[in-house]
Amino acid sequence: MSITAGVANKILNTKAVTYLTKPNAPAAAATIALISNLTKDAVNCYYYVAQSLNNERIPEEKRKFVAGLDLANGILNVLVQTIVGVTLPVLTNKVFEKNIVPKFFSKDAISKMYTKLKPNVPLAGFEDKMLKNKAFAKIGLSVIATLVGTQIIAKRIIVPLIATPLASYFKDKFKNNKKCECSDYDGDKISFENNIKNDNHSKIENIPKCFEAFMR
Amino acid sequence: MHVSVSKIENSQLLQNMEKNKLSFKGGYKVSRDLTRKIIAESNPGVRFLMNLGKNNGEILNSIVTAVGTAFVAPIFIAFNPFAKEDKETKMYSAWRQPISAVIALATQIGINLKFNHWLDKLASAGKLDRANLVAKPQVSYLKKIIKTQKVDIPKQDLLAEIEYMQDEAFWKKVNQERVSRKNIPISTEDLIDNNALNEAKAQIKKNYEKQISSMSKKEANKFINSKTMELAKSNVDEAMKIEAANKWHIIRLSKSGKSVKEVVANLQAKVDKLKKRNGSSKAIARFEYMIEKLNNLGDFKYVKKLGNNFQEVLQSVKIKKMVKAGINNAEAVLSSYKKWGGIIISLVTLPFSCGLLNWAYPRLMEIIMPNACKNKMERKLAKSGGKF
Repeated sequence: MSITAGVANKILNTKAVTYLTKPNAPAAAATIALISNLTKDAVNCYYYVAQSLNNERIPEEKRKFVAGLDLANGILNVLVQTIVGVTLPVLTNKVFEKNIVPKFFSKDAISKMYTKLKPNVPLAGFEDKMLKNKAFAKIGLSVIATLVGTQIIAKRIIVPLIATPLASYFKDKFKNNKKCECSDYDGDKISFENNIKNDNHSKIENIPKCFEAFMR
Repeated sequence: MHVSVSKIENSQLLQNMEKNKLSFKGGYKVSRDLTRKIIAESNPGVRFLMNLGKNNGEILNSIVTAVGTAFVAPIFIAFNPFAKEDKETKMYSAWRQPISAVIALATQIGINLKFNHWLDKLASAGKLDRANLVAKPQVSYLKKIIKTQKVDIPKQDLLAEIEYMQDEAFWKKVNQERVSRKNIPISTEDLIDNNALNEAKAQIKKNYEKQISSMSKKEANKFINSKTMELAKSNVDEAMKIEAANKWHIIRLSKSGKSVKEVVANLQAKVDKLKKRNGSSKAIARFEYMIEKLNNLGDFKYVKKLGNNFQEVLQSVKIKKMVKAGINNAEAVLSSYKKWGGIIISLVTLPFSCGLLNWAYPRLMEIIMPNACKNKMERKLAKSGGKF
């Protein structure tokens, strides 16, 4: 353990890590959660774009366009999540102060709890403890709101809502080209034109790879 | 600097009992048990939020993301009114989401848990310079130790044993420090933890509310930060003196040779007398405060060891606070290590989980939606003239 601990300490004692992880660190829990998810989505976007650009089953002239769609979807994802993630904590703090504090952390609520628990500490000491719990509850609300807001509402509801009509727009553009040929779901080459004419074909193949990003 | 007992005892601080009480949240055990009681008695929603506030990080991120991927994304894909694809296609696409969520959870949670436990182990063994938690070995570390010795230990006993080991480690550290630092002055900065800073910050915001409201956000932050440390220092200094004065008072009471119960009975009699003749409310409050402290103490045995004069008691009180503040700061740093480290780990595992998804998805779909896959296979065969 001493070698790994030595290496770990070398990394953890660097200036940047020390700054990020000091006990009163500048980034709040909700911000760290947002940074985590944004980074992951950005890296995911990079993988999709790189995959599309290097996918030999997509005709060369279409690759940039397909990758562009992946990139647009990724940017949309990061952008919407940033907006939601930055505005939500402000909103949740207001909700917390307005709806949760009066009910559970007001002077009255605390003294009610004090009477119920009958602890061996004075009321003032008990109030102090409740204030700490209030701070944790506030952090908890902003973290869960940020996560639900960005990972469920933004990423899974708002982005697909914006992206689907956008995808349809590009799809129509493709149809008009009549020449469009790109890989299907598993990378099988299909003719778009044929698929439109002949509906007996496998329905799966109606979705070319380039639109898969919008279905995620 | 020498502080005379009488000066402390007659100070405005001790006269003002309401303020004195602020520093007393019960001893180490009383405080911990009280936190548990509060959590157990809280509204389930608030309890959930308090737990999230204490335990958030990469694992929580992964769980919420997986919930969105597994339960919300498929609904939007399968029933998206804007998408013109047929039902089978939509269902085929929708199935990708829960599969991807399960793979993400399996890969990310497992590795993040291992990483967190590894950090816990290093911190508990005192191997991390900035997160030395020898005085409070972490639960996952202790669990492993206990379970290797007692494989089938019931959950309740396990928790009790963890608590016992944490208490033992805390007092061992406090006692070690009390011996080694007996005559070494303790810097006030060493007594300040994140909680103290947050309390001071809130106090500054409240005290200078009007002044701060007229400032720009940047100016206000600068103003608050400049005053916070100063106030935190004076708060903790004040609290230590009060704590020491009270402890010293108790030690002197113990010198009468009476038991705690007898001393409490005497004080209670005094309180009753004062109340009867409408005596000083400050005096009543003070005696009641001592009664509460004595009731929590139970025994004079340990308090007597704190010192033979006020200065020694003050040093002992400060050392205990220093160990506690050290634990709080180290835990905050450890928690940050876990959060930031978790992000890096998730990023490193992303290509693996993506690869695993690409491999598993078509294979699983052949089991889940064989017809949809059969159509596709038939077409492939027709295209290739029966050959793959």
